[in-house]
Amino acid sequence: MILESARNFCKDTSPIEQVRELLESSQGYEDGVWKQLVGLGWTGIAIPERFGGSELGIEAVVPIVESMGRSLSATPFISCTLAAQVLLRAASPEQQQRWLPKIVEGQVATLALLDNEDWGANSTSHQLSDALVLTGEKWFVDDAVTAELFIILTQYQGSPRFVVVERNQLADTAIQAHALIDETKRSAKVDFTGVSVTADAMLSAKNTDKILGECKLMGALLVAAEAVGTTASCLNLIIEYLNTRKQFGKLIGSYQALKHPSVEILNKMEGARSQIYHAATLFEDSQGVIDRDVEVACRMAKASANDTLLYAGDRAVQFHGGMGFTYECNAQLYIRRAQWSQQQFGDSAHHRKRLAPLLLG
Amino acid sequence: MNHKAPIIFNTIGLGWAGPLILKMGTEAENQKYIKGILTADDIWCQGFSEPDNGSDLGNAQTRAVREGDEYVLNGSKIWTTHGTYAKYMILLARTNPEAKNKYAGLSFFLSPMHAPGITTSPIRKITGEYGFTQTFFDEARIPAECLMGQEGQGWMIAMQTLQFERSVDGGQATKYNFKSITSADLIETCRTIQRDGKPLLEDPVVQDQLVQFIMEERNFLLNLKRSELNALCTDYPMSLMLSGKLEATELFRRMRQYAVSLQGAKGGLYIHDDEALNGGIWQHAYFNIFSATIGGGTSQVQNNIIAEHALQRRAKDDFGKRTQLLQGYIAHRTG
Ligand SMILES: Cc1cc2nc3c(=O)[nH]c(=O)nc-3n(C[C@H](O)[C@H](O)[C@H](O)COP(=O)(O)OP(=O)(O)OC[C@H]3O[C@@H](n4cnc5c(N)ncnc54)[C@H](O)[C@@H]3O)c2cc1C
Repeated sequence: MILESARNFCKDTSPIEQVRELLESSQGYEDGVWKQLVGLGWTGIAIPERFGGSELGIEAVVPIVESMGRSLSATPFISCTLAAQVLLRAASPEQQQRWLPKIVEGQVATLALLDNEDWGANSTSHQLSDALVLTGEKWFVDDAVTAELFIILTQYQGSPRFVVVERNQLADTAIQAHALIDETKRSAKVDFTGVSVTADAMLSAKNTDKILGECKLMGALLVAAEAVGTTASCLNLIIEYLNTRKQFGKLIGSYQALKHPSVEILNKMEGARSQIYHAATLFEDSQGVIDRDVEVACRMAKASANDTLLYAGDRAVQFHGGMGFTYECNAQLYIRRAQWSQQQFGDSAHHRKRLAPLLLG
Repeated sequence: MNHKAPIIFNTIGLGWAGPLILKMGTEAENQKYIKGILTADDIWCQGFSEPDNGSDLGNAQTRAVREGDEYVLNGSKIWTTHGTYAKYMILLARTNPEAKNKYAGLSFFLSPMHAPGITTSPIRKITGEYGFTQTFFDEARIPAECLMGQEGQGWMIAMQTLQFERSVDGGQATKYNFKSITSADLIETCRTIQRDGKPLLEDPVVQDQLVQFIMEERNFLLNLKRSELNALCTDYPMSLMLSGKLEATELFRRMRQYAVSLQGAKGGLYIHDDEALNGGIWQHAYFNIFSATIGGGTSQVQNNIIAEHALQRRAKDDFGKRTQLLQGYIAHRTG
């Protein structure tokens, strides 16, 4: 049911012409669409009722991001969802009361985790001094341009620690947009150097590593779900062309050289789709507790979805011939999304490497 | 790595228009064109593909009608590399729509680009840059002497051109190898990338894939050498000649895609980002390789050609028959 209404909403609010129009905009989405989405309650879907949410879990977020992926709609929805999940796990009740209702109401929150490109590095060089002043940049801070709330992974007295910084604490020049390969997405380098953190904006000192790990797994699952949706519309684009373009007097879709790889995309996609739903179901069953099975499912979902979209985007370009080599052809949107998507919260090799000990140990 | 320019300027002139004129042109054509090609004063472009006829090149419909000592051109070509600044075009156009088959109605022209009625409109590439055009012919008049060979020989000459372009006669094969970013560059890249806190080059899974790429690259180089020795190409005499472009371009496509996948979060950055690895060259090169897996005949169509001409026309124990086979191949493709 969520799937159907999410799919309709995204179809209506993010037609491909709109996606194209937003490519050069600085924030990448329309405020009006974001407001509507907030109105539907999606920003609170995985947040408890006491903060204004609907108290469902990550399982309810999966079909929404899948639908967004299908329409290539880029809103800060994933960023906000993950930020809220970190707060739910690491913030005190007072802190939760301070920030979660705002997120439900549509204030944009985001995570600032990386200061290098390595999702497997388990440390950060970002520092919070004893005097509670931050030093360092964060890279790949998604939706930073519109974010009001930044949840930053930093080091405090030798241990990793999440702290929260609000937008008005940042200098105007602190945010520098990345030139992303996927022009539908927005991410930035953010310099937090010199920002003073108040003591009540430091999240719990306990379990930071564990929470970080869980956050990355949820991120992996959500990006996987998004990629599965994107693969579906990429495959549609391919099929449409195969059924209209003729060469040698025949539809090119009649050639097995194109037909068989298209079926391969379909089959891989079906596998990845089962993976994301399975992971979502496990989240529901465990009520958000991330155990070994959930971990396995999230990692498998991400690795499968990555490889599927990479293949689909690549073939979409090739199967459009000269047209596929143009910026005008929508195949470029998919091949670009695929390069971006595979790297969020770990590429396929990253996840397979971590699956090996879980499965073979 | 950055100094390796992906495109040699005047590729078409030097790579296949020039060799074509040297091989099949008249003395006058040689006199008129070769010097300008060599000095790159005259940039050439290629007017083969049309919006509706790409892989099925033999179906090209751009019209050329003889009127006195001119030909009148109407129609449109597309994906014209160097279209905006070329001085000349090798042009495939239809002089006889009533010919006995579609191939026989085609003729080949060495056409000026700067003539009234010839206009170009730039097309933006997948990389985000501009680089090729659609070329329109609207009652354009060019001198009759631009016709190369005879009317009706267009397909045969076009096939000869594609032999140069697709490396059967040498032209492009070396280019794929020496001007491209290769496995050596990929290895260097893997040395600089950190994964799980260690250089990627130490990862055994990555090592396995890199060794695989090196082997494939070596296959390609060794094939190139062996293809010069007819006695060692007897089983499938046409195969190495026809597979070079396919094998090289598909290998490079996979290698570049892999290189992007290795970059961690930086793989999501593009060429204008300061933090992009090696200036984003792999991302850019990955997108650009489709110019070679599509341009000059797509990989899918090349597979068809190999199946038809290398597998099915297998010579049993023929030495030195390849030139003959090649002529036969060109003739066969002539319909
Ligand atoms: C960067 C670039 C530069 C180019 N430069 C030039 C140039 O300078 N001059 C010029 O004339 N042309 C140029 N081309 C055009 C190029 O030669 C054509 O794009 C190519 O021949 C394919 O034709 P098409 O684009 O019409 O694709 P189509 O022929 O429509 O092909 C679409 C898809 O169908 C597949 N297909 C078609 N027929 C078959 C079949 N029988 N069996 C199996 N699969 C099939 C193709 O493999 C492809 O995947 C360039 C192309 C590119 C990408």
